[in-house]
Amino acid sequence: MKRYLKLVHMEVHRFRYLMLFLMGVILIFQVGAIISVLSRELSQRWDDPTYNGVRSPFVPEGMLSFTWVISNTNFWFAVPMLISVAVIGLYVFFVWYREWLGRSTFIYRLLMLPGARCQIYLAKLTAILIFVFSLVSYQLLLLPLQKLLFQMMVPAEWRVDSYWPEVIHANRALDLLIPRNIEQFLSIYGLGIMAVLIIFTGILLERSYRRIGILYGLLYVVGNAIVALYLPDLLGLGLPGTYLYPDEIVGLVVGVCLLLLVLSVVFGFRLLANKITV
Amino acid sequence: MRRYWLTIMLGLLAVSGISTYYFFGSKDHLPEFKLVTLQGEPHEGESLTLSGTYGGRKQSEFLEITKEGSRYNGRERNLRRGLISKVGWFYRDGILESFIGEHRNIARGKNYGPQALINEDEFIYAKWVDRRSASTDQGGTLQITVFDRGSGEEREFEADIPVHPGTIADVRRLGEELHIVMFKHLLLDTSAEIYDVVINLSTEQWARTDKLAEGKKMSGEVFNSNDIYRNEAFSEPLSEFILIREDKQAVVSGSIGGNFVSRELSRQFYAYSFLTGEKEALPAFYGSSNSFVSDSDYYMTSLYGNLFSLVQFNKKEAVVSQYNLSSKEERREYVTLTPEQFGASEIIDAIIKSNKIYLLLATTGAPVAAVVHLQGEKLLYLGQVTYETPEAAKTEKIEYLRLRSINIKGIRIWG
Repeated sequence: MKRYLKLVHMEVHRFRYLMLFLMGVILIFQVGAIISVLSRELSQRWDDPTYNGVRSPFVPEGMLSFTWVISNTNFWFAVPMLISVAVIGLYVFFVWYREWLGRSTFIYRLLMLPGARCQIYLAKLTAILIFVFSLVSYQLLLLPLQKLLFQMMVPAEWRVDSYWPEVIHANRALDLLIPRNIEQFLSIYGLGIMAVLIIFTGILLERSYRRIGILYGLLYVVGNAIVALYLPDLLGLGLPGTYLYPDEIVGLVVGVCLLLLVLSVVFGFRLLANKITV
Repeated sequence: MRRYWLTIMLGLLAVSGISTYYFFGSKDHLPEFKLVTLQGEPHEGESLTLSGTYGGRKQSEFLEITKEGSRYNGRERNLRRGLISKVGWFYRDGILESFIGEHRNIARGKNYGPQALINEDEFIYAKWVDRRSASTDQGGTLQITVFDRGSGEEREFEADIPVHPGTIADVRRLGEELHIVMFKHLLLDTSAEIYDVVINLSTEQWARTDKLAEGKKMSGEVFNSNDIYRNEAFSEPLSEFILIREDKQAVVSGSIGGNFVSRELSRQFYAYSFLTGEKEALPAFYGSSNSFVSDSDYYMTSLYGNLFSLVQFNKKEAVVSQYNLSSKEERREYVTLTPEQFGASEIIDAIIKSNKIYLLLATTGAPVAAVVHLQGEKLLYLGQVTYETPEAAKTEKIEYLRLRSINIKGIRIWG
């Protein structure tokens, strides 16, 4: 356990500057966008008291809400999030391939460590999850601070309160990243974890069998994706008179996804223990 | 331990941020509503679903309100519901859905509404098990399942049918005769051939086939199309009739054989009696749907037993006409309902089901819903939407609630 935690820490430590960079980008883009949108709106209001840039039939005339601000900064919220998704997406590959980079390949030392090799695999997975969920939480933490900024900038007589889920729903990027119910959160991040595990196994296939391993890895990833994506249709979901009920089909799809997830982990462990070459 | 502060901090941030949001976020949402009874029988309001939007700070959200409370669609949207809703359309029928809930294994693989007949006594389902060649008229084999809801006995048999194995569109029972309405829709047919396949439930054999409508191919710029209009009632002898709708349409743009847009020129309903095999035209008034619709006028129809009802409505009034298919008696525009009768200012929506009219009305405050029986015009139910918690009125405005339609749970949707 201790060795696993050390490995996790090592992975987190290696990513720390990128993590700080991503957090900084998110902060600068979003806060900058909020200040810019609010300054523009407020300066026009100061110049012309009859001006009203809020085009919503649901808020009292002239009132500004935090939801309005967030929906008007859609693009500047989406850009740093897309950068973060792209960086972590690339890091899913880099977290493995970096071990083989350089003259004195680090993978030698990792594989020579005492204890089960599966800990390397689990540590890399845990690190990726920590990066993803930390950034999601960081975004959630930023929102109240951004609301505070909104309250500091807008006079109380021009403000109207908002509901948090509504604030998140007003921004397409936030709505996608932070679903409104926990079941959807577990579903999309569960699928994300499954995708990471399948890619990990694909990478290990490539590392184990080298040239032909590229083909094996691609086939493994594509095969799993096809099964996960088309299974509901294969089971007749959407066709009248299908033998299985929709809740049973959904249950089977979840079961198969969990099976693929477990198989990927077990397969990945075996490759790492028996097949990996340096 | 100090060396690991970064990992520990990030781990804690990840867990605490997300769990706090989902714990507190679930309690911070747009106001909840419910429908409360003002007058009449509360059970009449149990099946009502009012839908529309509630305006938030930036955009409105779709919601449904019942006696139990309200449900915002966006809040509950997820992958599982998305997958399940892919099939919901063919058995969203309230009766079939509740039957599936009670008899999951009996209804397994038999969940397509138009192929089922369910009443208090029985569940009957018809499906093709052998279509032989669908392109020819060699016929096929139908599998019929009859489940007695009282005794719990199930009977299943197969019958050879010497007609084209078309799409099953309705199932009716009259005595020992099972009537299965089918469509034969061939390529480029705009009008389907519609026929009634009769199976004798005692002998478990095909008895006869009656043709209800001729199929017509598209030619020229004006063409015919047809469809059936199912009876809401399932029990004998109420389900004696079915309506056949024949439309004449003109091509407005595009060309035949490719994509085109058409416009309805005329519509005629015919009543077909499963009992006598006779097909008779309804008065032209009931097919003049073009004249019922404008920017502010709407209409809805219903076939319940022998009664074909039509409501024409706008903001100011709802006018009901009825035609008795059995006695040929017509009561044109015999009921006029105004919003003032219900203490309201405008009619928002109206539907007719089971010989009752359901109205959604706007008031100066919260919307109201009314149910009136079409025989005797008795007010059965009057209810009003209210906040679930009175405190919500302090921060929210009922004007932001914009209900658009009224629906009824637990009734047949395949009308």
